[in-house]
Amino acid sequence: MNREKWRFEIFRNTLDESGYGTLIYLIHTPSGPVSFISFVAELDADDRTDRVIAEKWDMCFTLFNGIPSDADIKRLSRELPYQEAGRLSESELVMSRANKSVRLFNSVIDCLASGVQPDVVEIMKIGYLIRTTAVYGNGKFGVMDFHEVKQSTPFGLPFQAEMLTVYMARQLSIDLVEHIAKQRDQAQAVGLSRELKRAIGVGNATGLGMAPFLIGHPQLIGQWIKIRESAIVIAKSRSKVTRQKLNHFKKLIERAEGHLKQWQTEDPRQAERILVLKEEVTRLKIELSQINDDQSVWQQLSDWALQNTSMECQELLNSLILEIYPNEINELENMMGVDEFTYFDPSMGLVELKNCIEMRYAWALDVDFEHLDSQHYFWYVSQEKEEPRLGKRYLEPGCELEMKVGIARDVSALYKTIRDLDSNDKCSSVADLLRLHPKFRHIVSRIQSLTDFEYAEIQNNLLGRECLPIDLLRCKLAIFGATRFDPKSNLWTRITLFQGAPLHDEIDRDFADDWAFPVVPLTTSAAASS
Amino acid sequence: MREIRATVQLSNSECCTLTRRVLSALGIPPGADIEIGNALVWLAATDTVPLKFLADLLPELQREPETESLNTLYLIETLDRLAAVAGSLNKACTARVENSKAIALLLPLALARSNLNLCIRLQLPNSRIIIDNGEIWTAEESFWTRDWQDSKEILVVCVSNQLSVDLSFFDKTGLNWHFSQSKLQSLSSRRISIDLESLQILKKKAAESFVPNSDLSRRSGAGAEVDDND
Repeated sequence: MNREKWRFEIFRNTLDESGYGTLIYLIHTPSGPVSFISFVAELDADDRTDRVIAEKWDMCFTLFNGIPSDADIKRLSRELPYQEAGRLSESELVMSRANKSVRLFNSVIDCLASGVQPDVVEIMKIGYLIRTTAVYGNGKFGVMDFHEVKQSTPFGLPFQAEMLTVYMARQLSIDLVEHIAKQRDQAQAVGLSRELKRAIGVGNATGLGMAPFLIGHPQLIGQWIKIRESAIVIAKSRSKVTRQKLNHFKKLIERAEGHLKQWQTEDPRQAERILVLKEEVTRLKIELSQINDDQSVWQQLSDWALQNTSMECQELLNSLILEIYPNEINELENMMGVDEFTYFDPSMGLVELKNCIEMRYAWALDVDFEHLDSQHYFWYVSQEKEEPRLGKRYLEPGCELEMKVGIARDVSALYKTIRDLDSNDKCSSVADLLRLHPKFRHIVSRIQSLTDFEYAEIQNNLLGRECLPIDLLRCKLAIFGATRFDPKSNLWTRITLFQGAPLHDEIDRDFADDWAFPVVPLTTSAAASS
Repeated sequence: MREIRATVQLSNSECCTLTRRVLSALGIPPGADIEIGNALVWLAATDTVPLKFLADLLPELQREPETESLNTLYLIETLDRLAAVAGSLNKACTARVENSKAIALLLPLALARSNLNLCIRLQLPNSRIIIDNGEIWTAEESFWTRDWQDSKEILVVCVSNQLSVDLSFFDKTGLNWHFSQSKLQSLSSRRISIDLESLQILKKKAAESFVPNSDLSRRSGAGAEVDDND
C-alpha cells in the first residue's frame, strides 16, 4: 500500500445521529478499486458476545471487488448482517463483523462530544474501539475463492484482503466515534488527535478455530516460518554493523521497552513472562553497550540471549534486528504464499516410509500414547453453528467425530503398525499397507506431502493434557503483526492489530512502515513528523 | 424480507468442504474423503456431473450393501470396497453400470482407490480408460487386453451412458496419479450451482460429522468462561 501509494475516500455515508447506517470507503489501488462496505446497527448488550455462536453484532463489513452498485449495496445490507447465515457472492472478498468495546467506545464519544481528548492511558490500556470476532475469506459463505482473488484482485498473497479489511475496520471505528460525537454536540465536539488515532488499533478475539487451520495448512505455515527464519539469517549475517544501524536499533529497543511497560494482561502466565522480559531487555541493553567489536554484533547478541534470556526475549531480539534491515528482507514478503498440494505415492516402500517417520517425526514417537493423559483432549466441531471446541475425551461424548489434529498420535500409530507387520501380511508398499489399514491414508499422504517443508509440523501433541491451544494462536497471530497478546483463558485470546500504524491518509508517506512496538506518546518517526 | 433462492452458487472451497464432510459422515476413511470430495467438485465444476447427484445418491449410499446387486447397487458395493482401498474383489471382476448417478461416483472413486493391487478398466461408450496404480491411461487395444501379473486384481466396468471426461485435469508423474489440486483451483472462478433442496440434504448429512450440541459442550467453547461486554 505504501509503495503503490494507495488512496482512500469515503464513497457513501448514511450514518444517523446514533452512528447507525452505512459507511462505504473506496480504496484506489494500481490494479483497480476495491470497496470496504460496512453496516452499523443497534445491538442489545445481552446479544453481544465474541463467540462464534453469536447471531448479532454491532457492525458487519465486507471487502468488495470494485465499486458497488446500488443493487450490490442493497443485497449486502440484506445478507451481510446475517453473517454465516447469509449468502455473499464472488464480488466479495471477505466477510467480517465486530463488536464495540463497551469500556472505551462510549467514553471516547463522551470526551470528544464535550470537546476534550480521551484519556491516553485508558486508550492504551484497552487499545481498540472495536474488536473483530471473525474474518472469513477464501470462498467461505460464497465469497471469492482465494485462487481467484490471487488472479483478479490486488491481493496476491494469503490474508492480504483479510488484513486490509481489519485495517479498514480500524478506520471505521475512528470515523464512527467522531461522527457520533459531532452529532451529539456540533459546536463543542472535537475530533480525535492524530496521535490518539494512531494509538487506536483493532481488537480481535481468536479462539479454537485457528488451531485446526494451522494443522490443515502445513505447507503454508511451513513457508511462513521458513521465510521468517530466512529473514533472520539475512539480517544476522551482516558482518559489519554501521553506526547508523546501531543507533536505529538502540532507538527501537527503547521503544520496545516502552511498549512492554504499556502491555497489560490479567493472565498470570503471560503477566509473569512480560515481567521477566522487561528485566531481560534491561540486561540486553547493557550487553549491547559492552560489545566493542562492530563485527557480527547481532550474532554475538543472539548468542548471549540464547544463553541468558527467555524465549520471549530471544524472539523480541529477532524482531528488533529484522526491523532495521527493511531493504534487505522486504522482498521476502512476496514469498509468503505457497501453492498447497497433496502428494500420494502408493508405490513407496514401507522401509522408506518407516525411515522417513524416524527421521522427521521422532518428536511424535517420543509420546507415550498408552498413557491416558496423552489423549486427554479431543478437538471437534459442534453442530451449534459449527463452533470449534475442545472436549475431554474421557468425560464428554463425541470423540468418535474428532477433527484430525492428532498428528503425533496418528504418526505414532502408523509407525507401530508398520513395525509390527509380519511376513504373513505380505506388505512391502504403502498400497499394501493401506489395503489392510485404510484409516492411515490421510497421515501417509501428509507425511509424503511435507517432505520438503521442514517447518510444517507443530511438533507437539495437541491431544495431551499439557497442550495449551493459546500458544498455537499466538504464533499465527504474531505472523499477522498482532500485539498486546492478552489471553483470556487457555482457549482464546484478545490481541490488538494495527496499533500505531499509519492512518489511511498517511499511507503514502515514506516513514509509513516504521511503527513497530507502538507506545503512547508515539515515538515512531511518523509521530515525530506530524 | 430476504430473498429465497431456488438455486445456490457455491464457491469451489465451499464445495470441497461440503463434499468432504458428507463423505466423512458416510464413513469414508480420512484422506480418501478429501480426494473423492475434490474429484466430485472437479466433476461438478466441469459440468460433467452436477453436485446434486451426490445428494440424490445419499439414500442408496447409506443403505447396507447387497452382494448380488447390479448397476447402481453394484457400485455401492464397490464404493465400500474401494473406500477400504480395494477390498477383496475377485480377479477380473466385471460390472456393467447403466445408472448415470453411479458413474458420477465411479470415476473419482476409481481414481482415488486404484493402487498397485487394483486395476480398474473403465469401458466408456466411445473410449477405454485404464486406471492403474493411480495412473490414468486412455487405453490402446494391446494395453487393454494385456496380461497382468497374478497379484493384480482387475475390475472392468462397462459404462453404457454417455460420459465425457476431461483428463487434462490430472497430473501424471511417473507411475503415480495426482488429481491436480492447482488445476482444480483454476476452476475456482466457476461457481457450482445446486438447488436449495439438494444443498440442504448435503448439509444435513455433513452435520453428522459434527458433535451434537449440549450444555457441557457449549461450556467448552472458547469464550464461554467470560463476559464479552467489556
